[in-house]
Amino acid sequence: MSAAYIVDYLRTPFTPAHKGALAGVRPDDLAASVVKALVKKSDIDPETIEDVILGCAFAEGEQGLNIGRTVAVLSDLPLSVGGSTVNRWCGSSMQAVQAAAGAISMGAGDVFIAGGVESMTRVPMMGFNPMPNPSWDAALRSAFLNMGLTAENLATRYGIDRQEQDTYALESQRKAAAAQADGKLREEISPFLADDGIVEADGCVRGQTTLEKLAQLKTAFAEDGSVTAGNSSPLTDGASAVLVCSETFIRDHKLSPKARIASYAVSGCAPEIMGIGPVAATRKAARRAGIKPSDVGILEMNEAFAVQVLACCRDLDIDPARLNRDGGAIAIGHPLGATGARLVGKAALLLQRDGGKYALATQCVGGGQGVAMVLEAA
Amino acid sequence: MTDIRSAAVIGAGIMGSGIAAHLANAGLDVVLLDLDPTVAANGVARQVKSGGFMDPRFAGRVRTGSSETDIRLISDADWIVEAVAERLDVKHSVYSAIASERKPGSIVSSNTSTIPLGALLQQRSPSFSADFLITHFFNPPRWMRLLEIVDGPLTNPDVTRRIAEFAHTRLGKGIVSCKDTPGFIANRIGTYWMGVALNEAIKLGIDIEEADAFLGKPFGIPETGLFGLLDLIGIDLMPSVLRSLQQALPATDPFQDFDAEPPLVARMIGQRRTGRKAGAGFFRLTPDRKGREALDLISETYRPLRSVSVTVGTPRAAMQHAAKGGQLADAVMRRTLSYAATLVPEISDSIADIDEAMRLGYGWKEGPFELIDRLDAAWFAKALTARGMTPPALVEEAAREGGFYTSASGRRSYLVPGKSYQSIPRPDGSISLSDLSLSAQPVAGSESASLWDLGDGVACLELRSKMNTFNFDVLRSIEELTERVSRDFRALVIGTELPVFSAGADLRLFLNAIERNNRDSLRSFIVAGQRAFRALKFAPFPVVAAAAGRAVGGGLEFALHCDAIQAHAELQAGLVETSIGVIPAWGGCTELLLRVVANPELPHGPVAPALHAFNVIGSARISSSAFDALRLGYLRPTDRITMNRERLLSDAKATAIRLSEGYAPPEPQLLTLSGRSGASALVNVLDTTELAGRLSPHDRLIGEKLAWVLSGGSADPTKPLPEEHVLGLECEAFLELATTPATRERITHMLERGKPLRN
Repeated sequence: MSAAYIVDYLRTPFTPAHKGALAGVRPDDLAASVVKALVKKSDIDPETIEDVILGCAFAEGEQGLNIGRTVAVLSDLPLSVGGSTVNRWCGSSMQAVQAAAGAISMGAGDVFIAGGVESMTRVPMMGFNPMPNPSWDAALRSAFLNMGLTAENLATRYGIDRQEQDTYALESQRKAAAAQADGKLREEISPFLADDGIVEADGCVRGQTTLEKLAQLKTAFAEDGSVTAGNSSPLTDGASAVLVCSETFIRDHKLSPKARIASYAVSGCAPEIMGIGPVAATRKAARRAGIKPSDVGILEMNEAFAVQVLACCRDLDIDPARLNRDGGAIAIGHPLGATGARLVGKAALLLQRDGGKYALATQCVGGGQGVAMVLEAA
Repeated sequence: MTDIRSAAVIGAGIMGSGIAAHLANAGLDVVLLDLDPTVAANGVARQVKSGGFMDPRFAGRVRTGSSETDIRLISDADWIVEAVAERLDVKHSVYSAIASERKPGSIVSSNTSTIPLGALLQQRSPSFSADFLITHFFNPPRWMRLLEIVDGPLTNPDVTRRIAEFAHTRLGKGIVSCKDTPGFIANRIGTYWMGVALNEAIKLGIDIEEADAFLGKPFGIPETGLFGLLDLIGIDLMPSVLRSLQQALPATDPFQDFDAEPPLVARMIGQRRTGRKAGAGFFRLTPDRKGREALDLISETYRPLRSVSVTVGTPRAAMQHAAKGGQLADAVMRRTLSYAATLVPEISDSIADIDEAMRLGYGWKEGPFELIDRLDAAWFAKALTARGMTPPALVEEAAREGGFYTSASGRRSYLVPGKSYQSIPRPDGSISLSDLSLSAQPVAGSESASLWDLGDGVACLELRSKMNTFNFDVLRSIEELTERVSRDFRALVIGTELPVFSAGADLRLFLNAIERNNRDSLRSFIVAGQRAFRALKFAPFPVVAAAAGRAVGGGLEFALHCDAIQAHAELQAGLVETSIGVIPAWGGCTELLLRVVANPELPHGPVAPALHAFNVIGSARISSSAFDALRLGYLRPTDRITMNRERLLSDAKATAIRLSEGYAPPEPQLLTLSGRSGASALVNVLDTTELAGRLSPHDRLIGEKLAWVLSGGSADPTKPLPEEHVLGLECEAFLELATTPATRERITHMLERGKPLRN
């Protein structure tokens, strides 16, 4: 069994769907820009790359035609490099990292680009032609298709009120705005050269918001609920990629990796509370890494919804203040297929920047799943 | 056709930005400049918000900048409109800048409403003066149809002709040529009416609701009446408008005979009760913002609205009414109509133009001379004499001749002082059924519908029912007349003179059948509609709907069965059936699906077209313009849009002729539909809407039926179905919904209150 390492990580700026600076960009072009930049930055020989594994939640239209292979070709990689598309909805690109690490551990390659992309502008969530199985009853269909409803369900079950959610959301915005102002996000962002100029900053962050403004927002999903656009992640366009390499490759090429992939886990849960998915996945992944969740210093948990993060923290007995040092998806954005690789890449960068032995990246997945990956300082 | 392709507007206030937006509606590239470029950018944003653009995306056609540093941007403009502050020095410096940047042959116009043309042109070169005229728009420029044009002795007549033609065809304006006199036509008479009415009302101490009831409806003056209009314009603005006209007019002009700023108005301005913009004027919202209050003209305090119980009736009845309102109507209209009659030929040689200006610029249903005709000119002359006023010579002449207008010659004609009657000129390329009816008879028809011969082998079908609604007789007439057209004509246009294209099915008929629980009668009504509309669709000649105003419910379904829709730009089209508890069943679901499937700009696949149609029909959306109707999928990308309502019939006729060359009727189509799995996705939309609290219980049932129809019932996406299959589903779903008590409540509510019930 060969160990797998996160050697490098980049992402495009994340910008709001429909009105952001990347709304006019095809998702395959967006992903290719970041793959090209990653190869250039890490200075590896492109001939050594085995595969481009790309996560995408709604892989149709401009995200169809096996976007993994499309992006490999668009990125001017040698034609010998493969390309595949992975779908685990919001967990797609964390799954892509796992697929790379899994292949390395069985000796099926040494160098992989694992990433993800989603243009929520150009391919609508749930796709252009949703055709759920008609045998599902209304409750199951609704749980599968309506993420906002699952968040409301958690709010009810865990008794997490609007103010607690808004307070968490505000903190995410504050952290992201501070990180942005301090240039702490610059290292991970690969600017996109658009037709009408260069896009280099995240566009979703609302550092000026206040608790009062958040409290004024109407609920987004349930009339008498508590989940709003302010305490949920926004519809976002973006792409991300990490370079995953085997131990021998790193040694032979004298690379300095950011982290070793210590473990991974997936766990299913009830679809109507899909947001609780990280709990079981985190426990499993920690056990496999031989640690306790409380041993982990750096925690990147995706913020699909504030309420879902708060519920997970309660079950895992983690202080929410410890999560997402540079802000989470509520502020930065959540381009579905691109988020997993961002979380893994960010966790690896933070291990290197802030020190510590372990980092965890975890997220919930629609339809009722959680995924989690443990990294160990390299 | 026209040589005006790009325009520049200088001055980005309410008028300037509104004119820029409307020029963009006409498809022009527009430059909008103001001293401060952010004012120009804000002007565009304001027009997006207030609906000045017919499609918000048209804002992309307007480039903004500074009139100081970006003035070179006007160098490509074929037409440059100045809409800056009404100050001569400001205008002169703008003209100097324009003169040095504009390209040769470009046209320059001012939107001034107060400054004479001669003063504007001081110090300007002969070539500038030859290319210059006044184009006076009314607010808001998209909707107010009047454009007053004033040219001077030096203006090249070709310049005036080009602007008039462009504004008529492409901006949809009614053009009225004015003489260079203060206030031109509409504001001279309109503000006189307002000034007199305000002073008389204060003098009488009348309830303002009563004043508006007497001054409004009987005279065909918009519902806002006087006091609603003053609140809208801004009460602080009125004194300066009236005063500037008083200063510009001679001391003998009756315009001097009222107070431009009555003490009450001065006090209101002092208290910042300046109208709608201030939140309080003659009316204000109650503190809970749910109701309205009116200002008492005597105590100058607000009190709850009072309903006016008297029925006012005709203009003459209003003026003779014993109530205070009657005294007001008599005093105001006597003076206003008689003032208008003294202004010929000072402001215009044509009474028809004056009437047109008041209709299009102030929204009056009839202009002053039409109103005198309605009162009867002889009666009016006598009424003036009885009140000690000398009837104007023109009124006396009309009394002798038998009125200001006549149709005796088979054409609508107006009185020309000293020369008897002259027919009203119609712009080239306009066809009107009411003009046609003066000199011709329909070639066929019944009480329900008429068939007119428009010439060149084109017939026109005109419905004759109230609001062009459909009952059994109307549907039968359509089928019969379709037969007739196929024998004698090569193409058919569907047109109307009413402000509505059609309000759809006659709801009373539905309600009767529902109340008698007569399912067979309902079914036969649906089948009759489907049969009549499909007879049109598959007829051996092309059919073009000339659609303007509201085309809703069955009215839109009627148009959707045509080969083309020639749409007026302000078309309000909507499949609104769900608001009365049913779904479109005269082929509306089927035709919208077919249109979405064939539209390259809308998403495709087994579910996407159904999802689009579901959202459009489910929300009962009415288009805000023809461009919006295009986005909703009601119009095909090949359908054409006419900016001027007066040209709609002739444009539709031209389209019909074009389609008739080598015409073959459409073949019935196959539709790929997703069946139960797609329906499941559509019902999910209902789930989310319900959770969000925006779905009533009956909405849910209607939505489920609609999902079932649009996804083809038990269809399988691998087995395309004939379009008739969906038609059958429409009928079934309709009958199931129509026989529910909740639908009955919705229809009853709509009939009684004129608005939808959410139950």
